[in-house]
Amino acid sequence: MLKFFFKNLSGFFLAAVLLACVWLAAHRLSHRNDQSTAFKNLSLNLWLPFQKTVTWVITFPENTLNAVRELRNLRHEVDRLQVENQSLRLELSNHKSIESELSRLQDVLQLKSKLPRQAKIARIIAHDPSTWNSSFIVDVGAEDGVQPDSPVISEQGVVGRVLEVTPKNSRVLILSDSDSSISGIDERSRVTGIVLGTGRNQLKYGYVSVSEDVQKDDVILSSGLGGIYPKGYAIGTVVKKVETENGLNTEIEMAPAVDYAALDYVFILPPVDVYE
Amino acid sequence: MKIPQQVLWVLALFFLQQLPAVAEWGIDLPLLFVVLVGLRSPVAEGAGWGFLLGLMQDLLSAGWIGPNVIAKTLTGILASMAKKHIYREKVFTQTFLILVSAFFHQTVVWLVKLWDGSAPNSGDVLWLSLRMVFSTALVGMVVSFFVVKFRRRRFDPATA
Repeated sequence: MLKFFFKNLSGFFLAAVLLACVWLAAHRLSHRNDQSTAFKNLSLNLWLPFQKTVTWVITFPENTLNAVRELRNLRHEVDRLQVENQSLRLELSNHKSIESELSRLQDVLQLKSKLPRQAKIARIIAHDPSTWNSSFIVDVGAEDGVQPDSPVISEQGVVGRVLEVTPKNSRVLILSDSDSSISGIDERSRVTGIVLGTGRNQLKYGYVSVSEDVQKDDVILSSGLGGIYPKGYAIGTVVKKVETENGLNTEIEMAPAVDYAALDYVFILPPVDVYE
Repeated sequence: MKIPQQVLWVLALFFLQQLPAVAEWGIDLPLLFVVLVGLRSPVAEGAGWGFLLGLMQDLLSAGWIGPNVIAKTLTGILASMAKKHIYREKVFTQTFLILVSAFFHQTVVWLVKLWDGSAPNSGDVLWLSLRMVFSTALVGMVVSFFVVKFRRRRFDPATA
């Protein structure tokens, strides 16, 4: 029996591999709603410290060069600001300087209301290795207070939401992923719809009928509906509007507000029900 | 290549695979490894490497564990079967086989996602697949050049 087994070892191995594939497919049928498993989280926890180090080593020269350039620019900026400072000191005695100070304080208060105190800044350490998904891993997790379905934004606009959380890291599902969707509103005409990811660096503004007033170059913002994303953050800009064959709906293509490939840091906000 | 060397290559590939530049171009480095190893291994070994790399890719990805496992296992089997019938120690032949394998891999992933109900719409699938197939084949052409030269120098210096 054993002789037969060892003689045909490669055949048994191949059969075992194919059976494992069938088991995975069957497991998916019975656990369709599970986004992550303990096995997946354990693998991430083991892998990510190494990935973080390698990413840091590879990006270190570029970051160093950028820092040197930034220092040079800051030097020029300091010189310019010193001259400007002299003239502003003179203006302080004037009534207009008080008005500009008030205006500046109002902007600060508005920014503070958009970014609640519990917002966390997070660094991207790894991108999704599969060509079919759009996500990345950041260096903050449950220990830092991050929860699943927390909205993620950058200074350009909405980036996505937190999909999975481990103690020290989190996976963010980007808006452009085909499984992503967000409720949007046209800033100009206030037409609401659902922004859908396509898997590419492009979004679609769906569930908008032909008669609705959505035009090229319209900015689409998050509407706040749906309970995940806060309202008022930029999602993207309308690029093209095409009528569907039945003539009842339109297909609206959007360019995202955020350049996902150039992201280095993002902000993770607490879930909407925590601070609204 | 001995097993420890292959393990080091796999680890290096996955570190590179998660960098923004690679992710943006849609290059599938683990698939490249599966095809190049499969072309030089028995069917069981090709399937084993495909299973392992597909599993690693799905574990580190946002999707469920399955599409890359199944697709890369079958691609590994396909590559191992191809070595019996197609002479491979030429850059063009290897690049062509990588192109065909990448196309096969993407078709299998799409079919699995279609069965699961999580496939994007056909226009987006076509764009995603073509991007991956051509970018991986391009990188495969460069890698094949070095692999063929190395193997010729090592096993058949007269043709190097």
